[in-house]
Amino acid sequence: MNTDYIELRARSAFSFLEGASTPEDLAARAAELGYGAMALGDRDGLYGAPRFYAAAKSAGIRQIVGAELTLDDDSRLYVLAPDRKRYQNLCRMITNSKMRVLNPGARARDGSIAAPVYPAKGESRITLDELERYGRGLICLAGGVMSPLSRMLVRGEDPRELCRRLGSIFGANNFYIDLQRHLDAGEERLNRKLAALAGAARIPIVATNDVCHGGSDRRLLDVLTCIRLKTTLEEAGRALWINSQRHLKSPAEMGALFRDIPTAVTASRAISERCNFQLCDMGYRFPDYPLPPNETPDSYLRILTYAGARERWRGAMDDRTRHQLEHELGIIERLKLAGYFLIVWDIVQFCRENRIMVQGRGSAANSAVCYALGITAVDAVKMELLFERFLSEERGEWPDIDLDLPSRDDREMAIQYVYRRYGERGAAMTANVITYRTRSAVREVGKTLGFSPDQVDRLAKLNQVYEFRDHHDDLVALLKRGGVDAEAPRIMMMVELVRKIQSVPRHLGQHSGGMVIAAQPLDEIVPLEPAAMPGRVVVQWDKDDCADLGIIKIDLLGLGMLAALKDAIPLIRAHEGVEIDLAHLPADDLDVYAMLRRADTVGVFQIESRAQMATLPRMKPARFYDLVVEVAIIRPGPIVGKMVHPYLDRRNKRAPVEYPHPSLEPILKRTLGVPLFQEQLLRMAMTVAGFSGGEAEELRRAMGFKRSAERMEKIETRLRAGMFRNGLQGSVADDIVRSITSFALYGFPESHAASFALIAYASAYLKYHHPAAFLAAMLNCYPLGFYHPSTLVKDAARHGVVVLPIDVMRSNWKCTIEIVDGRPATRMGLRYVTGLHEEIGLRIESERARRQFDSIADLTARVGPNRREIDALAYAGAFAAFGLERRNAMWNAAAVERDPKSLLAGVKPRENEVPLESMSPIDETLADYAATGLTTGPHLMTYLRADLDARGILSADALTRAKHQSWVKTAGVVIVRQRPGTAKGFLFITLEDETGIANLIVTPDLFQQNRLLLRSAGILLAEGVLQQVDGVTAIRARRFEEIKIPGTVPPSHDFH
Amino acid sequence: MVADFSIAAIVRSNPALADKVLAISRSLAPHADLDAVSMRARELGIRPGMTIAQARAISSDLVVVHRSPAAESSAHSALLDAVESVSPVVESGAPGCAWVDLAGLHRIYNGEEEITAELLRCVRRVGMEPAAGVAANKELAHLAARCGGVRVIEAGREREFLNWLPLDILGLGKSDRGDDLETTLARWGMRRLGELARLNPDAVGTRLGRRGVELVRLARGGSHAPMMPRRRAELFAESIELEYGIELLEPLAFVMRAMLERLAERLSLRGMVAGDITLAFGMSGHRSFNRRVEVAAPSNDVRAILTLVNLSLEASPPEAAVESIRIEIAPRVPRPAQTDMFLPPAPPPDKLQTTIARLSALCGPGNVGMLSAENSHRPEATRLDAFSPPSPPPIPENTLVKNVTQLVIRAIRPAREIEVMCTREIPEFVRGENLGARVISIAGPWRRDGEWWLGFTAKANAPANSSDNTNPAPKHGLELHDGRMFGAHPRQVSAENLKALSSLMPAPSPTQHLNGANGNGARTEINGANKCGFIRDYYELALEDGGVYRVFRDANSHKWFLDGAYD
Repeated sequence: MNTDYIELRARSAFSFLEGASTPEDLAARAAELGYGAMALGDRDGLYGAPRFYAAAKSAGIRQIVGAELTLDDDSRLYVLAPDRKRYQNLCRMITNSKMRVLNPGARARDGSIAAPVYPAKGESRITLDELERYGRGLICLAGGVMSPLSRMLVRGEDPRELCRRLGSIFGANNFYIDLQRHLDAGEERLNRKLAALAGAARIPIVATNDVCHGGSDRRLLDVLTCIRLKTTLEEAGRALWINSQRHLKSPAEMGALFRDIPTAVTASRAISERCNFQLCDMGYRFPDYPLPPNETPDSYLRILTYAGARERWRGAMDDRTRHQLEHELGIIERLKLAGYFLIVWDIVQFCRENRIMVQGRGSAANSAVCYALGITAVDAVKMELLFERFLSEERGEWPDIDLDLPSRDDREMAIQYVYRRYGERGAAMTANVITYRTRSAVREVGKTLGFSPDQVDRLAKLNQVYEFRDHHDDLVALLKRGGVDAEAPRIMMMVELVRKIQSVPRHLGQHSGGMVIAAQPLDEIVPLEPAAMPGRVVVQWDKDDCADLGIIKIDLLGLGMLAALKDAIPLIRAHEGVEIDLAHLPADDLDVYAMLRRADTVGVFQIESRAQMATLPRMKPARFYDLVVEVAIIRPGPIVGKMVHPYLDRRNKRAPVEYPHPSLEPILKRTLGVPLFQEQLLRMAMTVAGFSGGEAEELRRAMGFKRSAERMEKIETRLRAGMFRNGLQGSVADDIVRSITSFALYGFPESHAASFALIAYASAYLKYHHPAAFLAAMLNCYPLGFYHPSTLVKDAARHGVVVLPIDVMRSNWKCTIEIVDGRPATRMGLRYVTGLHEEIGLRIESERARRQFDSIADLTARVGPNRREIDALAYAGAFAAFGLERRNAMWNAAAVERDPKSLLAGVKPRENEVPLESMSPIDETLADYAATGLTTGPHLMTYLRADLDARGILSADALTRAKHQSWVKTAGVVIVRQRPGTAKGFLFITLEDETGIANLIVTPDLFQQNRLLLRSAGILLAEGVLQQVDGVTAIRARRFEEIKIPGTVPPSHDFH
Repeated sequence: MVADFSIAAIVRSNPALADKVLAISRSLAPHADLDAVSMRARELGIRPGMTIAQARAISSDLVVVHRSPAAESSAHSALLDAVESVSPVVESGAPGCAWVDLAGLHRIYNGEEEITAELLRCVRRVGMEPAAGVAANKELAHLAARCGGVRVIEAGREREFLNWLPLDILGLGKSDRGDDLETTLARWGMRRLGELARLNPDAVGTRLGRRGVELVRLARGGSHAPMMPRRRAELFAESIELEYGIELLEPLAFVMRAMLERLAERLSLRGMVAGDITLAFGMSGHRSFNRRVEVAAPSNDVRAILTLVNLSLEASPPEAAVESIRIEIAPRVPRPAQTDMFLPPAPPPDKLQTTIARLSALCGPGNVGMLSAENSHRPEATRLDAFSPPSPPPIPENTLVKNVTQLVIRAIRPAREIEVMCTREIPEFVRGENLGARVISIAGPWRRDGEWWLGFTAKANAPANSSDNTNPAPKHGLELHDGRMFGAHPRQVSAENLKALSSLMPAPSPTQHLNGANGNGARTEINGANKCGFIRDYYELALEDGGVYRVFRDANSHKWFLDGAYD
């Protein structure tokens, strides 16, 4: 039997809803069946190619790169890339079809050039002309039911002319007709016609199997087909494949199927041997940085580094620093990475020149060179960070530099700069492969199985109801808890299919900030696609795939707090006369650390959450490194790994500092024997299990990898084996393994934590020393952080900041600073008036600058707000400067002529006839909340205090003085509800009153009993046992009551 | 008036929802707002304006339905019919609201209490729970009714009633300027009508427009809009929009029965009986279906009317799932029926449909009708359609010049079990009823498998109305094989190829295992469920006796079947 067969035609799940197996599954199955090589060609793209390449490489088979191209008549041709040049042509051809502008020269209504319209996803088509331009040399397989030849034969047309044309396009030796045998009589009839055509036109025949899945995914394939066709399995009928034969078959099976045409089998091997191209040989080059005359990248980098170092260390550069810089520059030179650093430096320079705050995060913060170049803000020398975590000669891979930028406009400006610098086809965003999540999977599978929309909805929502579930909770458990009979056959089938579909790519999105750039046009390296966002281009691979193939990625990530810091600095300069240099803030400001120890951190980056606040008094941070630990410790990784309490106990000397093994002492000494950072885990693996640097790096990537479950399992086996060799077993080994594997969920690298800690410290510094400007900036950059603006305002007010209300005679669109009694005060901006458009707000600002308003009518005539906007301003109390009480203003505003062209425009209504009663103070507060979402006046709870005092209900401030374990009552506005996945169903509620905030802990049982109340109450009265531990106050609440008021209560931030 | 009318209309058309935690929303998306909620939902704390997600968090039993204009229209007509049975002067108000002129009724009834009691009784008969207000003008009566129950406002005490009435009872909409009046007045500090009454109507008019002026007048009890009686209905109609399309007549009849009962009740309230019936169905794909059913002997006997309607529909059913139903009845004055003395006693023409209906009753509801091909890879897959004599097939054009040999297969239904002797899995001898010969040529196997979901999907759990593989009615017929060249080639398959193809059979793919057969073809179970789907290998066999047959081997049962014979 002829066993020469090589599978040349296969599609993976990256053919979106046309294939059911991942590239990894296909490669593994191919290896199992004894293939030495295999091709993968997804529809209209190379989406699955990198993953198939990596999987094939590790499985010991050779990858052949292909693609199934959709032509403009909807027929399809399958092509293979034999060499790099043809691969590049294929990429460009696919890119052209995806980026084809459908409205060239179109004009918008205002006469400007209209935004380009590209083909919708899955709708791109390739023309024969494009095939002629780029197809030469590609190997074309023109068989199968979807090929243009087959379609003509089925229609009874003569395909010989098309055959000749295709032959001339691809070249005589590159044009094949592939026959497929799936035990289908209809297909066999087509095969006979194709064979006759091939014989008549002297076209060679090759056998393929048009593989749609690896072997056991027929059901999933049918379901995916139904999802694609938006139908159910019942209704799909003949739209599904006739049988289950489109799986990867062994060479022997294929040899048997084509026993009558052995040359077709032999041809498959011959073609595979011609396809020598491997994805690692794409010819990618990182762009060259334009250098001054007589400079090399290395020499120029050295110049820039030392110039930066002199500025950074301000002449205090010691030998250790100089040695570290030399060490790093040496490695960079040996790895030929100077160009990369120069290009990142170039982006950072652009940001600096354009006053865009930028800060490198991630492992780049381990580098002194990055610090000197201004890429990062962490002094790696001072912090004793491990440079090898960032870059090592052993790994020999590209470094990963992530840049944090202020969110929105500044970040977009940086992205567009990269596009301009490297050209539309020279830079692109990386893709984000979206896979089915449980809810979407349940919805889609449920629909195909014929569940009614209501049933699908209910089943999908079971996932939402049990929000505290962790990854151990599977769908069956959820269904059972949701009252669904998980043993019912339909449900069991759904569960089985949902499990299968969860690893299947659903569609391609755009990564939040990852950009790739190349020296040559990127569309020669990887097909590009237009992104949904105008002006953005996306590659067909995700960031991990790009990294695997050595394509340089730079992450340009948006960070709200950076925007707030950036906004605060000019406010401080203008109103307080203080110049803030974030790079040189006083490092150990005692007041700031005292504030942190009090957990007075509302608004402080990363350490403002309830959990962080509960840790700060125990942690008692006194220096910067404590902050680094604080940032890293309240993460799911350390929490799940049960590292938080041991660390805090040791820090507070309640437990001795111990090490899992004496050999780990040097690694864990800084964190008191408790592993908290990724770097420590890498070093632990290297020490206890004898991992090499490369293996440790593999471990690190598995940690942060989306597809980590399987990889982590393999690595754990190796880890245990290594430890066993070193004599580590039993509970010690278990502890170490648990420490490492728990970081699969969001463990922080130390350098990353240090970068974040810098921002945390900067925000804490501004909060303490310049609270008014900090508040104004925070309010202007909202949404960001953990708390609603109403909480930020009340917190600032408790810290002595005067917060001035919205006033059309004073307020700008954004919040500003005014000097009141010689101290800066925050003036609320018009942007907080619900329903007021930015355009009107800015017009108020500009008209007022021209001339002050003298009445509502004057403002209306000059600014032109609509009726709702003027009412909203009146309701928000913004006309107080006209001497109008709120209802008075509303009454007058309602009578003002809005039409600026009217004769009555600008006529002042008679104000002495107002028949409405003035608002009571509590009504004013409620009106504030309704009109602006916050109040600058008294806290809502102030009005209830007398009653609360009478009932013995304590304020948040009084709670801090109450006795531990005493039974207490408190009440407040609910500002946060949180049910984290790591808390096993516990609910945490934060209440706010006029004195501060109080925390409630609710057990899962009590939550279930009081579910409605706890989820919906705006003002909550709770009683329970007070806990005062290490200066952290919380109530283990037992009883609850809602306090109802006639009005709007500020909304809470709910995380569940 | 009927409070929460949209809910009441839904419950009236679907009484099963009466005890449910019910809400109406324009969309079923989680973030869609609720437009109206039932009393039960309100008791649990669910309010209009909440999102569905919020309401579901309060009660997981919440049933959310779309608003049904058809049900509301029917309910409103029924309300008018009910009150018209008490007073001839009725004005139609907003949906769920009607004004009745009580002038002159005191000669029939004993005071307002008795009149309102009669009104309430009549409205309850048409399936709704009303409230009533009696006052000197329409607006005041409306406000009194909105307070719930029965409330009579005596003349001269209007201001007393209005002063403490909360503003939200007005159900204020938009002002002339498009503002939300309720919000504006609340912001002005207005809580009760008495406060509003103290404002200057002109000043309010300047700010809120005509609607504001009307409000102040209303608050002062000074509105005197005249009655505008409606014309009496000449047609009685009930409509319903179904949440899911109904494909079967039985559930359709079930729905129509309730509608006919409501119509009969309305007719009897007005002292009339049902005449000719017009059915109007809205169907999937924006299609419509209209049918007029003549009623020879007008009556309010729902059973009799329903039989007529059923027979009419069975004769020629709607072509698609019915998504909305409208039944119109022309009212007739009841009169004594008299048969024709001079005609022989013969069944009326529609008795034929009755006969078909009886056949259905005898053979089972799914066993009378016509078989037609199903969209499936299984050749014998058929579904049962309602009986309708097929029109003769059109004669193809250019029949004479078409020179293609058409191979015709005589399909055997159900496929007949046969015995096939194989050597190394290749058929060698076939034996069965009237059959016994050596195989001289083979084409195949051609594998068909699928329908693995049978037993799991909704349709499979539904009553078998179109089951094909369980159809007991044997049927022999001619089937034109779809592959016209197919029959010409079986003998061309070489013995070598046959062996090669056959060698594939004993090694089923992993998929086959999932589909219900293990390597030995034995039955397997999927997660405890019974086997489902089919796996068959079809062969065309030329036998020594000269016949060419299509046979298949069922991998689930390991049995061979004769599927057809080529003519």
